[in-house]
Amino acid sequence: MNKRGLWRVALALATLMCVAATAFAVEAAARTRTWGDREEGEVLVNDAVVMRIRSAAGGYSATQRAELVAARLNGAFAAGESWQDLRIGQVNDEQAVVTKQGRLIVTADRFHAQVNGTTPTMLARAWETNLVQAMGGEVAAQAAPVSPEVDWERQADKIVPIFSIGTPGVSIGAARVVGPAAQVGKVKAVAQVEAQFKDVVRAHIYIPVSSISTHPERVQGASVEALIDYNMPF
Amino acid sequence: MKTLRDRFGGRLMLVVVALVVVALMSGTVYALDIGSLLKIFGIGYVVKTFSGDINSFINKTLGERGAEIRGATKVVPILSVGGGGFIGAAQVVGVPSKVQTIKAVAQVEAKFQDRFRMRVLIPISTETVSGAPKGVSGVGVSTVLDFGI
Repeated sequence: MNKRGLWRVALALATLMCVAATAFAVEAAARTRTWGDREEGEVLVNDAVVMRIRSAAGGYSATQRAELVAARLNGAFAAGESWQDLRIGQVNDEQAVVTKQGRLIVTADRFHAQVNGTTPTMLARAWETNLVQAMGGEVAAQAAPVSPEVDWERQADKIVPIFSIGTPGVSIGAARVVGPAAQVGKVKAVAQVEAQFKDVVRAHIYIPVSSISTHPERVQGASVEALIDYNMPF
Repeated sequence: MKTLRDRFGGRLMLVVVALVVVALMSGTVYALDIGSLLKIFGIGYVVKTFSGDINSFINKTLGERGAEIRGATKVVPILSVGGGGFIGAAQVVGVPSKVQTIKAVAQVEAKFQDRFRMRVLIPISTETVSGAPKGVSGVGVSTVLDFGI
């Protein structure tokens, strides 16, 4: 190959690398989201929402906190760090963190965990999973626990209160749960979780649980058959 | 020698135009968001089109809260008994072989003592209901979905 040919090959390779770099570029951004009368900040990676900051703290608004997280992520991307560098860690019972190469990305605190009906560590894990997926990585498959087959046959029913998982103790109606007698016997209430799918679909998720608390345990095999509303007389 | 245009004249042009219009329309449908599809085609179509996505979304939401379901799940439309038509959607849960047979959830409304309103949700294996809906044993409801237009 002559000199001119070599130059052509080099040019083609450089172009190819530029195109590939553009195609696989990872970028974080932040935006404001209004939820009822509350302002929230959303962090996006490659246009996918990876976490929502739902409160102001440390003199920063929710959106400003989201921008801070996006800036930390962009700094890590610019330094060539990949999804494999992400880690989570538990600080204490109130806080867990997502880090990249030892640097803080975001803190999952008790407030955000309660809003999501989970623990700080579980929330940090969920955010880490969202980040890995948005960056095109693979989430490590966790070994599925070996569990006996669940019986869902209806043998008994029971009427229990429904409570909102964001504010435990506040009853917002009642539900009739059905399932195997032994499982229905364990059900103390139905926890309701609200979620929004594509801004148009509102999901009311009903979880039969064995206690009324912020971290209720699902009773497998029991499900909802009827919802009961009480019309207040005023 | 006759050309294609001579043989078929305007008919060929008509077919080409029709194909282009159909292609453009199908592209438009894909470009529409879920809200627009809801207005144009209704809840039944949207639920069938997005049932897999909605089901995954609910299961992911439950997983994040450590409340995942150990059983099969599926999203189907809710059919109003008496009122007729699809009025929403529900995620059903239960024994995998039974969940597969579910086509809809029949909703029956009842009032008692004037102030209590009960919505009974019955997973059924048909998309229509004539008479009293017959439920499928081993399947219950996990989630109720409202569609805001």
